[in-house]
Amino acid sequence: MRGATKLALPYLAGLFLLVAVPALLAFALAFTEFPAVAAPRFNGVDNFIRLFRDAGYATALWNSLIYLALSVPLRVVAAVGIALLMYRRSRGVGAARAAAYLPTVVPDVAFGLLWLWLLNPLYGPIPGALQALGLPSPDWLIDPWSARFAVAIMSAFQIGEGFVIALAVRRLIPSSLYEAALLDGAGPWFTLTRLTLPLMAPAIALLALRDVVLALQANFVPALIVTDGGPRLATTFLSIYVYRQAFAYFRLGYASTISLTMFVLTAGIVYAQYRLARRWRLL
Amino acid sequence: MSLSVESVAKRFGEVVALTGVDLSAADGELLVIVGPSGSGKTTLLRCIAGLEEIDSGRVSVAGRDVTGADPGDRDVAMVFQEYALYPHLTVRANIAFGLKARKVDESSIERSCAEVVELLGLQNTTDRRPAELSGGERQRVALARAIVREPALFLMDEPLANLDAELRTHTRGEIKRLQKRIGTTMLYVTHDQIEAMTMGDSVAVMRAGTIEQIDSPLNLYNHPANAFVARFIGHPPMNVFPAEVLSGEKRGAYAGIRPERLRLGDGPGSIAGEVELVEPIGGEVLVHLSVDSTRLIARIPGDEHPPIGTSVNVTFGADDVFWFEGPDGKTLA
Repeated sequence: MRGATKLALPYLAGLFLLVAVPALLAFALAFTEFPAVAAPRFNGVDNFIRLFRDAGYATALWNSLIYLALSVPLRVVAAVGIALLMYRRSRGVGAARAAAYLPTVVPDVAFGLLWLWLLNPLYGPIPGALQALGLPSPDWLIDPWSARFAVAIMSAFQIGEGFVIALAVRRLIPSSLYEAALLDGAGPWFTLTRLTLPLMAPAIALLALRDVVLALQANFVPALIVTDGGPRLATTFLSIYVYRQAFAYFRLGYASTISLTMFVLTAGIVYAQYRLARRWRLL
Repeated sequence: MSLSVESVAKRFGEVVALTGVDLSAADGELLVIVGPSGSGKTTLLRCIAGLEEIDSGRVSVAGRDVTGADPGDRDVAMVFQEYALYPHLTVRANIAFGLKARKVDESSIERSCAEVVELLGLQNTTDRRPAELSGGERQRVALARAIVREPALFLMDEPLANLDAELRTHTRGEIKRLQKRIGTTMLYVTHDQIEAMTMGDSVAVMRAGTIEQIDSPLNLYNHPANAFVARFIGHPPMNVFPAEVLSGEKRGAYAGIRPERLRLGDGPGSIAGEVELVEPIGGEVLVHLSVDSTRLIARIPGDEHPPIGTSVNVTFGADDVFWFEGPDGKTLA
């Protein structure tokens, strides 16, 4: 056995036991009725038929797609934007970069509780600041659309990895290209849109692909802690819906079926993005 | 004057890069700046381009003071050593980039690009990206990108440095022909004195942030202002040694004789030395001689091969000797 394979063995074992086996089990469970207190019973495609009649599932799917549409662009723009602001080495930039990365290492539950306080309509700093500036403050966690935006905005602060990747990619662009553009008479906007972003495009495409995968799963904690799936089911995403079906109603078979649709949805969107990126010669 | 540089000084922290440089180039002139690494030639070019801010002095392009102007407003185009082609754009888009940035209308861009593409023989490459081009093609695209804007001044920063020897020789002739055809003033930086001599209408020799001499290539060779210029221009470098070696003449001064002026054999004032090394270079041979503690190089015809370790005499004409104040000092009359 080669050295590299030996080194990878512990990881591969963990991957098999903790990812592959549960995924295969979930796939099998998707075709069963499994109330947790009794053994799973094969029920064919009943769970899939039920999906099509389940208004709750349709709402959760709709909410997830809205969240995807809001959070992925927001996260990618934030990661790339902050990287472009902070790629130069100068005084204080190191601290600013650390500050940009910091929210990513805060545990999700603590991060959710923090936002619950930040957005509190009675004493939260964000509504307070908006009011102090004479600006209208939406009913962040009470109005359905504001709640969806709030969860998406929260996600835009945990962009550490995307920020670091964008920063590294920007720093790899040779300065001579910018000097050539300066001599060519290119202004800041022309340089950004015709030079910087196209050169960063492969990395941006990869970030977008990765964020799509994340967006369908990583909204679970904030939606549970901050909005509890509400108001009026506005933040009941597929992840929350799976959780409720599995652990509130003990429909583990049906929850597995929904998980399977999440997997297919994610794979479909990622594939479509990949094809687009290939067509645009980004990847 | 197409270019006028007056008393330009530049420091990078404690490091002095340029000290009061004065330089000018007439319309249509190809002025070469040559000097060893770290002499400040690229810094000077970047200061003229506006890529570096100068500490003091004045830069004028086509009669207009551009000292504080942005690089894009100086009416100069630059070819970088690494070409700096935009890797995501096709050859055509690379050439058109500057025109698009300046919001030139599409039909004019199309026409200008087509002309330049034809001028540089890039017809078969226009839809390719830089990664799909050879070194020589990239170099021509970089030239095309500079030419298409029709600037008042071309700045070339060692544009041949990344080409192999054969292509370099070919391309320097191409650049010179192209510059004469277009008639635009060109400032050309190189560390290669052969490139400088063969290309330049005039050549500025730089050392440690100052210009030692500006003159025609032949005048630099025949009438160097000091021992540094004398050694830098010509290959192998001029032999510069204490004058005492030549039968005690001009005590305290330094003598200089070009290797190609030394001949094996006896004659008036000939010097005896021991052969240390013999380097055949084709039609000629470089003979390294040791004369007491002084080392001389003689460039002699290829059919002469004195054995290593033997003692030989070298001779020269009285007019072949230059006299200098010191090892790097001024030329004495």
